[in-house]
Order: sequence, then structure tokens, then C-alpha cells
Amino acid sequence: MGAVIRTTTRCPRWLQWLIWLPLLASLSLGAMADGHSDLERQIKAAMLYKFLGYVEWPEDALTTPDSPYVIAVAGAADMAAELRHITRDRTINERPILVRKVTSKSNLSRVHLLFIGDDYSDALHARLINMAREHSMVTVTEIDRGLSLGSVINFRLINDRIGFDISLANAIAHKVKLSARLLGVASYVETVGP
Amino acid sequence: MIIRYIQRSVSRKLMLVVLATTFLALSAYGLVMLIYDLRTYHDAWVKDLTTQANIIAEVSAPALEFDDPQTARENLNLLSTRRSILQAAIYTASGEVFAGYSATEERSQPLLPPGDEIAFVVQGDRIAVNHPIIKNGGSIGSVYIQARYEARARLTNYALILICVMAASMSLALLISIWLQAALTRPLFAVTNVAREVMQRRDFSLRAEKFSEDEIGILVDAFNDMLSEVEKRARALEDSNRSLEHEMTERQAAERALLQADRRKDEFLATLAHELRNPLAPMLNSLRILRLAGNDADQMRDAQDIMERQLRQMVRLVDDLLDVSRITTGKLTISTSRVYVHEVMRAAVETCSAFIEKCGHKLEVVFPDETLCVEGDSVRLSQVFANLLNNSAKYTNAGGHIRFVARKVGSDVVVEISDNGIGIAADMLPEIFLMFTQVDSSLERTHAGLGVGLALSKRLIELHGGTLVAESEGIGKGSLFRVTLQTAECPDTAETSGDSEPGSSASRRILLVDDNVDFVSSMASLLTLLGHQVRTVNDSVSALSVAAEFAPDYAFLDIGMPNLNGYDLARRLREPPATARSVLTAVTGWGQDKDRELSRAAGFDYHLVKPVELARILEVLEAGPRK
Repeated sequence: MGAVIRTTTRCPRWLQWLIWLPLLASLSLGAMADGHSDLERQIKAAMLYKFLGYVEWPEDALTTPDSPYVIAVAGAADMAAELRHITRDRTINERPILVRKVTSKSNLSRVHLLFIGDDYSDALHARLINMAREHSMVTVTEIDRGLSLGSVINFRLINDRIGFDISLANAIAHKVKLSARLLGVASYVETVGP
Repeated sequence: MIIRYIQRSVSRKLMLVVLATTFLALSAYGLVMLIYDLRTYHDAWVKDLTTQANIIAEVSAPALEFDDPQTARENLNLLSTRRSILQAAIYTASGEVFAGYSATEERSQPLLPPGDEIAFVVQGDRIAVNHPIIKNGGSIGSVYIQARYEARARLTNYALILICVMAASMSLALLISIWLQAALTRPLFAVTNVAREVMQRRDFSLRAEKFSEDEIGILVDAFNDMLSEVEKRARALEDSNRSLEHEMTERQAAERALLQADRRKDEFLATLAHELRNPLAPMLNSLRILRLAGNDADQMRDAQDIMERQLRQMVRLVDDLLDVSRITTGKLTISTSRVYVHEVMRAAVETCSAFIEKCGHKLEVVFPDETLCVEGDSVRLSQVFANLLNNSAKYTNAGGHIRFVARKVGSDVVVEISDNGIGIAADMLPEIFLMFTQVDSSLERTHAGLGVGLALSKRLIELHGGTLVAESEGIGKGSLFRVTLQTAECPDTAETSGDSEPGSSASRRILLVDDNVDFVSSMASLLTLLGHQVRTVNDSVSALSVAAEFAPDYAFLDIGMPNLNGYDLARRLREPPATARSVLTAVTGWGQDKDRELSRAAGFDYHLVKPVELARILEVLEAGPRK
């Protein structure tokens, strides 16, 4: 129900976003220039951790009831440390959480969520996302072209607030299901079809 | 006042009972239902709000997790469909407001602090619920909802409904009580009305109508039975009252009669003294004449005539007195035989002719056409007729006309004595036959008498089975006395009793035994003068020896004597041959049948009742010796 209302009420917000686009672009560029603040990393790390609760993987992704969720972090060196800090002694659905640092050459099997930092180039993004497609996992990016590069979730800075967009088509490509409740709080949802 | 109004009528009480019962039942029911409803309402509200809060919490968990107050607000805005929810808010785990909602512009302080527990509070007309938002086993915030708590409005509605229901129920109860009144109190009223009417009219014949077989029916039956009982008793009481009244009247009449009788007796005594005293003066005078006259034969005869006349008058008076006493003591008896009417009439005329002639009356005697006989006592019958003739002579002015007529009417003989005298007033007619009654009660009246003659005559005629009636057309119109007697068959041969002269009988030896010396000696003198041999004895013991020596043909024995009474003397006289064939005659004051029977059993041949006249003794002598 929430999702239906959300899609109809999304339109004005989307238009707003288009209007504010130049400003946002300058801000994000400014942020990149300065490097990411600690607060932003902390918020994003918390959100990554929380995404696990709204995603459904195929059965073969989690073999045993207590097999851990694996979060792989590519680039964004301080992110992995932050995540480890957050997920220590915490569980999602009574499963422990493992954090791994990966590169474009790493094996991505048994990974459930892959975060690619904005210090990676578009090519590396594409390469990593293609690798991720072979497994079932959620890919999360923090660049403006994230969704078009094939990412499922993309962080975005809106009015000094960190929000995220979701692509349902990419989710299907990555063989994961996202909870409608997650879609409800997403800033923008790219739906399947026309 | 209302209570007095209700207490006066059973139907009002019934109505009160029905209405009060309905009211109390409805009130109790209404109260219980109200409490139940308020509790249900409260529980429902708490549950409802908790559910709402839970849904909001569930829906808003991602918004809180991903810090999206806009979405949380939108979620809260969904509550606008519920008008009664006034305020809502989502708090973060640290207790800060994450998103808020208000149905109105105003915002008030929350009634509950944000917390990790499900909590609710009711404050006035507000209810508030707090619900934590749980994610991954931990509380990440809470939902707060505050709503209008409409218990008061509900209470008002409920009261309104209750009032309507109560009004309807009371109306129904009223209808039922009216029906009850008709079905239940109508028979009761019927009984009450009858009871009231009975009390007012004192009519115990009224009965209450029975409508049903229930307790009231039983009451009606009992009431009617009671009325019957009361009626019966009242009637008995009335009857006894009436009979008492009757008795009282009779008693008063009897008392009056007694007083009158007493007065008459007093008058009679005065008359008696007067009548008895009257002859004594001429007799004393005659006695003096006899002593002084010496040998003047004319004067002596005149004196003797006077004495005899006065003495006879006295004897007659005393005889009457004796008869009166016999009547009052029930001892008046008659000895019956066949008697000829004309002989009785003749005897009466003989007795009275002198007096009638003296009064200057003309007497017309008409004997019956045929020879008539009656069963009766010739002496008594002639006494009655003589009485009546005397009466007529007395109460007719000098030179009157007296008729003495006998005739046969059917099987009766009717003897009438009529005159053209002073007559009898109509109001006196029933009284003249009473004892001691005299038409003229003044002592100065012309004719002597005790006033017992008519009473005696009537009694004697009644003893003969006949009737004596008096008739008169009034004062001065004369009077008529009618005697009616049953005729009897006459004996074949007419006896000629009384024809023979006393002096013609042969000389007899006669023994007189009586302790009354005067009576014995005077009678002895008379019998001696008549040519008989007479011995007198004054006591019964010496009578035995005298009798044995004298061997009398006739013995007259007094019964009441000392030592040896008359009956025993008679038995003893029957034993020796000298007196065994003597004619024995008892002389006594007792004349009833049983006395005569005693005499006969003792061996007496005759029974004479005192006072004994010479004529009675002569009759015995004439009857001849013992057969």
C-alpha cells in the first residue's frame, strides 16, 4: 500500500530533484573534493547494515540458519572499518555479519551486499557490478550514475540529508528481492517496464 | 398524601408493584449494561488504538531507520480517516519527536512519555496510547496516539436509550397493571361492594358473584358462607326476639288479668262479708221474738219463717262458696244419669217461682214438644236453670216478663231463659261468666248475690259437655241465656223418683256417727221427728259397740274421724252379723271419683258429699235396704 502511494507522491519530489539537480551536483562535487566526512561515513555504514533487514536472497545464498551475512566493501577504505565497528555484536535475523574488503579482482561469491566507494571509476563500477550479477547480491553505490551503471541502491545527498534511490530492474538482475517497506523510504524508485 | 392515596386501593398498590418492579429491574439492568458497555468501550478503544499504533509502528520502522520523517509523517497522516484521533507522533529512541500529526491546529502536551513498553492512559475525555517500534529485537522509537475518549457522549446516548426503553416499559407495565386490575381486582371489588352493601343495608341475603376458582374464588365462597351463617343467626335472633316480645305481651296480659282477679276477689270478699252478715240481724231478732213471744203462736211462726228464710239464704250462699272452692281446686264433679229435661225444668221453676212472684214478674215456661232426656246430674242441672231464672228475676225491673223455653234442635236440646230486663252492655258480655263478676258492683244494689252464679253455671254446663252463652242487644234491651246440651235416649219406664212423701216411709233404725256434735244432734232430731229410731255416736270406737247392740238398718259414717277412720269402721261393721246387712253411707268432704272408689272398696253403699242435706239422707232411706 505504501509503495503505491509512494509512486504517485514521488513525482513532485522527482521534479523537485530535477530542479535542484545543478545545486546538488556542485555540492556533491564539493564533498568529493573535500573527501567524505566521518559523519557521512557513519550514516552510510549504518544504512548499509540496515539494508540487510529489507532484502530477501535466494535460498542458496544462505546455506545454514546461522550462516552470516557478508558485506563486501570495495574502495572507500574507512568504510570497512566503520562497518565493522557498527556490526560488532549485532545480528540481523539472528545472523552475524561479516565485513570484507574486496577489489575488482576479488572473488565475490558468498557476498550478500557489495558497496562500491565513489573513489572507484565508472569502469571499475561496471566491472564489479557485472561480477556481482553472477551471484545474488545487492550492490550499493554512491555516485550519480550508480543506477545506470547497474547498481541496485545508490546513495544520494538530498537537502543535507543522505537518501537513496532504488532500481527494481537492477534488483531483478541481481536476483534479490527488496522489501516494499524499503521502497517506501527510498527517495526514488526506478520501476520495471515503461 | 401520595402514600395514603395508594394505601386506599388494592389496584393502586398492584400498579405500584408492577411499575416499581419494572423500574427497579430496568434500572438494575441498565446500570449493569452501562458498566459492561463502558468497560467494553474502554477495552475496545485501548485495543483499537494499540492496533493502530502497532500498524503505524510497523509501517514507520523503515522511515525511522533510514531517517525519513517525511514518510513517517505521511504514515501518520493516514490517521486522518479516523476523526476521533486527535494527535499522533513518532518518537526516536532518544525521545525526540521524529514526526507529528494533529487533526486540529493546536498541539498539546502528550499525556504519556515515550517509552519501550505498550502503555495507555485515560484522562478526562482523552485517551492516549504509547507503542514502541521494535526492529531486530530492539526498540528504535515509539508511536504515540491520542484520541477523543467519547465515554461521556456514549453515556449520554446510553442514558437516552435507557430513558426511552424505560418509558416504553413503564407504559407496557401500566397496561399490564390495568389488565391485572380488571382480571384480579374486579372480583375483589365485587366482594368489597357486597360487603359494603351488607353493612349499609343490613341485608344478609346478598351474595357476592364468583368469577374465578383461584384464591379470590375461595374468598368469595367463604364470604358467602359466612353471610349465610350470619343470616341464619340473625333470623334466629329475630325469631327469639319476637317470641320474647310475644311472651312479654302475654305475661303483661296475664299480670293484668291477675290484678283484675285479685281486685275481683277483694270485692268478692267484701260482698261475701256483707251477704253473710245480712241474714244475721233478722235471725237474732227472730230468736229474741221466740224467747219473748211466749205462747203467741202467730208471732212464733212468723219468727220461724223469717229464720228459715234467712238460714236458707245463708245455706245457699255457703253452698255457692263451696262450689266456687271446688271449681278453683278442680274438685267440682257431677254424677251423671239419664234425666228428663222437663223434670229438671220443673224443679228449677219450683225453686224460683216464689222469688219470681215476689219480684212481680210474669214467668212463661215452654216445655219441649217431646220427652227429652240428657245425660247429666239432675240436681246440678236444675241448680243451673234456677240460677239463670234467679238471675233474670234479679236483673229485671218489677213486673217484667221472663221466658223459660226448651226445644229440640237437631240432636241437641236448647234451653233459653230470656227477659226484658236491664240487659248487658256489649263490652260486659264476655266478662259476666268470670268468677266474682257482678254487673252492678255497688254495695247499694237491690239484689244480693256473690257474683259466682253465672261462672258456676257455665262450669257445670261445660262439665255436662254443653255450652252456655249470653246474648243482649244492649242496656235496657233485655238479655238471653242459652244452654245447649246433647240429648240422650230416655229410659223405657219413667221412674217416679221424689214422688213419695218422706213421711210415708216406714220407721228405720238409723245410726249417725260424726264427731261434729251439732250436725249429728240436729239431724237426729229431724229424723226422730220423721218417725225413725236414731242413735248418735261421736267417736268411731264406741260406734262399734253401739252398732253391735243397736243393729241399725242404716248407718251414716263420717270418714275423717280420729283413732279409727270411716273406711276402717265400715270394714269392721261388715264383719258382725248385726251390721253385715246394714246400708252404710259415707259422709265426707271429698267427692271425686277416687274417693267414691275408696268408699265402695271399704263396703259403703252410698257416698254423700258434705254438706249433707236432709233430702239426700231421705233419698238413701227411700232407696230401701241392701240387696
